[in-house]
Amino acid sequence: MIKTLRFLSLATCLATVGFPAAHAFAEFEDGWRAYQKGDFTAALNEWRPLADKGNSLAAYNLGVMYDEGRGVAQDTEQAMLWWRKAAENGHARAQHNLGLAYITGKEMSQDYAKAVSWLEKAANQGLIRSQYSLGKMYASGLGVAKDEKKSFYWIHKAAQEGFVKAQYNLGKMYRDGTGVDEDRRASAEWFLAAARQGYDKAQNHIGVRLAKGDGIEKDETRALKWLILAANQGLARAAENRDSLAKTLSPEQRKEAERLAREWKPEKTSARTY
Amino acid sequence: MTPRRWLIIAVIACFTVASSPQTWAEEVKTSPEEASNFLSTLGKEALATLSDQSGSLEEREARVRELLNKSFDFDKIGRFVLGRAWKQATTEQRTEYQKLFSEFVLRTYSQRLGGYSGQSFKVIKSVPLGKKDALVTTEIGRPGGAPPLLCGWRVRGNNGNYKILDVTVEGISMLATQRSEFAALVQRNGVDGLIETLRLQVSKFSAQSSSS
Repeated sequence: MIKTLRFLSLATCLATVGFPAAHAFAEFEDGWRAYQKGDFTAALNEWRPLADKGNSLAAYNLGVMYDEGRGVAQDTEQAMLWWRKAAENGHARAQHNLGLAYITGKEMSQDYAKAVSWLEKAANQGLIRSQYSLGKMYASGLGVAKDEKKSFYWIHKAAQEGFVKAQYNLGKMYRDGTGVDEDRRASAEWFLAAARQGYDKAQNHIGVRLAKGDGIEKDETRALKWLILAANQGLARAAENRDSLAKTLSPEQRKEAERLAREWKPEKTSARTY
Repeated sequence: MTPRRWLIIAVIACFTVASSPQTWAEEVKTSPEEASNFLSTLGKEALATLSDQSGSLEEREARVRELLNKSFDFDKIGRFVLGRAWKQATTEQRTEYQKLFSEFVLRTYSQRLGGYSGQSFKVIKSVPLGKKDALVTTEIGRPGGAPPLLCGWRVRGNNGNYKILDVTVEGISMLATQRSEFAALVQRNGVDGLIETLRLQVSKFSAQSSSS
């Protein structure tokens, strides 16, 4: 009897709470499969009712579809409307995209204060792209008052998460004393971190540093290795640096550097480099 | 393009040819027929990539971006679009801008053109454009009764190597649109501001699955 009661109450629970949730999940997944197939009309038909009922993920994706003009005419205002719904529910990517839309959208809808406020929410949730974007905005003064300390704060966070461009930027900030005390050693460390991920400009910088022993122990062979790697990616400055350093080294050192460059593999990079 | 505008172009073309017989021999002219072949091959490859359902939509579009990347002359396009600001820009700004601009264009076009299941693609016509180029008109058919998309591709050939210089979608030129938008951005926020805005544009997140 007790068992039956338990079963009944469980069934009621499932019917009232669990089932609709499971149902919504299935609808979302149907939408996702259609989206992946390129059947955008079907995806919209699945996601719109969910978004109307307050499902943040569906609302976010609907915003993306309006923004990218998939299955609908491109419409930034509609995109922002759906992203706002999801963003207000705490959806991080919606907060990020909404923040950007306030900057990159039509002049009418531009609002830098709102952009920064949404980007900060996303950055505080740990979104690296938002952290880096904020850092660059404070650095260039795009829509905000220039603020080197705030710029350093956000770029440092993104760099610690392994974001390669943030690491490179941090190398420059420590070098120039931008938003932080000048520190040649820290600067070299961050250039090296970005170089290891394969960033050509950072490879050039760390090559020059190693050649001079500037902020890092002098090692001309390793220096040449990094300059070769940067030059191989087509960086003209690095090719010049490579040639002038190579002239001063012994044939053995050059050979060793070439071998190191050949065998070098980038560390696993962050998926996106913006 | 209206017949009247064609007439004007034709008149200009005739005039140019007639008035400069010496340079005429040296001009590298793009054969409309070969430009048409170039675009039709590109279209077929892109469609094949998009209809291969083995990867995710994002992966398929990344492959289309690569195809387009090889086919656009981004050096010329990017420089033209930046207009007068190109001269003010430093070398570092130029490289950064060119990288972001090509990414921005590729992203936009692979999204706008690609992705749909059951698309069709055909070349409608190809005619000479200006002194050196060909204008290839294509029709992209969409499933579900959506009207077909008409695109014009300005193509320049050089020793059998073909590159796209401009795309006109529904009569609107990418070059002209971007050039005026960018000029306004540079005026307001400088070259750095334009670069930052482009970077923000390409850092948007795309559609998200329930598991990521």
